Amino acid sequence: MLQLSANLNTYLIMAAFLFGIGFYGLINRRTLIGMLISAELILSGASLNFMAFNRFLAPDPVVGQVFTLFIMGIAAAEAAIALSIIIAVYRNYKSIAAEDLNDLKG
Amino acid sequence: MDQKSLMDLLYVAAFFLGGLGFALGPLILANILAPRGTRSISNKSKQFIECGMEPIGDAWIRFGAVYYLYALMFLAFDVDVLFLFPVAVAYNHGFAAYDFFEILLFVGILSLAIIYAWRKGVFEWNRRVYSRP
Amino acid sequence: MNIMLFAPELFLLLGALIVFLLSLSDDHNSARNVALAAGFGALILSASGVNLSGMMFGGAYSVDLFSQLFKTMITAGMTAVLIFGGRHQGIEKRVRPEYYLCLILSTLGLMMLVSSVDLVAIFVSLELSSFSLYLMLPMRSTEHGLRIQMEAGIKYMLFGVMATGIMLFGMSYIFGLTGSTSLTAITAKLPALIHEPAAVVGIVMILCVFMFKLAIFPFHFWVSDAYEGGANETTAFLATVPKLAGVAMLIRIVNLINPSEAIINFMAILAVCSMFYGNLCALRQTDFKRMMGFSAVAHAGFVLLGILTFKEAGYATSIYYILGYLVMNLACFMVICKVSKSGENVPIAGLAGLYKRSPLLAFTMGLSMFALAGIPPFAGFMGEFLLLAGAMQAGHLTVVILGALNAAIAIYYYLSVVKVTYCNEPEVDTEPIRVDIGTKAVSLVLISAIIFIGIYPAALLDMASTALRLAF
Repeated sequence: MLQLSANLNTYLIMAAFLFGIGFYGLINRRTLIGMLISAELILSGASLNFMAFNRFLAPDPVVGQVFTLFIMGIAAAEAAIALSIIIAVYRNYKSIAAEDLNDLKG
Repeated sequence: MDQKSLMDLLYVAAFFLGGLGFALGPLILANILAPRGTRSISNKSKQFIECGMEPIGDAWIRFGAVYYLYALMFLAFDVDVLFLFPVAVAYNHGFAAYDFFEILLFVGILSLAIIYAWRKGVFEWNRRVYSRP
Repeated sequence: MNIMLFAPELFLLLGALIVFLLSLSDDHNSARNVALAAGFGALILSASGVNLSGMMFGGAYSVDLFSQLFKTMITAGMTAVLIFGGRHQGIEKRVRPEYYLCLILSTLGLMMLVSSVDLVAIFVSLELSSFSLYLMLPMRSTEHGLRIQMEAGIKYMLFGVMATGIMLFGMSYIFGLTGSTSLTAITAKLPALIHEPAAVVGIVMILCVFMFKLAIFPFHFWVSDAYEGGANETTAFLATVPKLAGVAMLIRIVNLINPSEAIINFMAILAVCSMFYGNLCALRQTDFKRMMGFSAVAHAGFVLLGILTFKEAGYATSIYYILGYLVMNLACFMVICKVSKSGENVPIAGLAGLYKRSPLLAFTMGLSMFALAGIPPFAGFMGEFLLLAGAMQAGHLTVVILGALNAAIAIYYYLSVVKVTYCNEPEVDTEPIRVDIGTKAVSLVLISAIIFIGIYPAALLDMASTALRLAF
């Protein structure tokens, strides 16, 4: 039988870790897909936080779950939109490497 | 084990069998209906793909992903199922016309996306680019 | 549940549904008319319902003077953008109905955002408006071999998603500390928890996403690229309407906490950095839209000056300022949409001799530039003056001095646009620009609004203060 830790801090640290990886990845990844994956990591970090707080602290255990459901739904929509824009980028630039996108000097 | 929980277990078993039917049914049907011994599939059991044309060249080539729009639609829709789970919890007080109407509205709005994709020709399988941005 | 409370949103939703059905048959002219009708209807409904108040959807949605004022401004902005966008030549012809659909949904999301008083509602309506905006950017026409819109779209989207992720993370901390997602419950519990670092971190992280909308300093990277890459009509929308909701939500969120020295200093530093960065970068731009992008960063810094006073008067000035900003920006983007013949970007030099080609457009451009530069008696001057005076009263002397310095820097690049418009001879295009009747009407309304807002600030400030008092 697998025993998961019944300690809030474990989950908070885990979520902060996910957030950190995602943030680092968004800034450092070279390809758009990699950046998208990193963004998803940030969102899953937030979801994990919500579920942990929901399990250990919240007076009403429904709210956090509903919030997490919304995060998952919207994350999927976001992935679909981002992928379609990435396809549009690829058709025009023949590349999805972030360093090749330099027409605009942002 | 009392009568009620036995009934519950039976329900679970019925749903399990139904699911299994959905998974295995197409395989069995294909097996029954598939043509055998025609020119294109006989004597080809040594090839990676045992039917169709003789393979030419390597498999590691870039191929047109005509179906990426399917993938995008699937991505959006399989998560929307999540929102139907709370429905089972929230509307647990018998059948009510109002609740039914609400769900119908929700699913109806979701299915607009399918209608849109349909009209724009996403479901037609021919090798051309559907939407040039 | 009173259906009138939700009428403007419902009307827009109905419009969106009709535009969707029209998009199935590629009928972009009637799609535009329906979108325009939806915008007008929502504008009239929200303006006539300005005094309504009530709660909806289990306390997640609050309708009050504050939200109704913002809804009126948002729908007015959308309608103006639709009118002067004309036939939206900058947008790919094939996807124009979808473009209108996204425009309506984005506006709808912003309207729902200003009414949201629950973290879940804030999140969902924010994403509704942002996703539609992300899609609108790459819909620019590729006719002239343009491809920057794709790059702008994906950059804007990735920065936006990062900001949303940060906001969600902050929300999760606030939820963990207070055990609730309703802003009223959070307001009740948060002051006792303010010594917890997690509370401060959480609030600042939530503020991030609205600072992203307003393009305040560390979140400004997207702004110049998105402005330049978007079609003229898209940029006109992007530059004006979402900023309104950004200010409204900044005020709502900031209102949750008691000011501490650290937060005030943090916001003051961000404000000063935005002003300097925006103004200094705007000085050396040659593309008009890109220049306006950097000017937006600078103006966002000014808006933050009102919010960091943490007083009702300061918030009211911010609302007043952003109203003026909406009108001024709509005016100059209207001119850009009309000057651009087939949806291409307009360099500042391309405005040369505009006074000969179309006196009305040249006058609108000149007036809005004067107003943006903060020259009395127009809207921009009064707003900047009141913001600086408010910050002075709150004792932020350094910030005020730096702000005034920035107002002086800004005059240079705004007035050089006016100089090009009026003093330079036209170089390439010399034929006059035809202006349709709708655009003429919008430009007259905008001109009179720029003057009126500048001359009579008292009435508008009073209304904003009343709205704030009723809402909080």
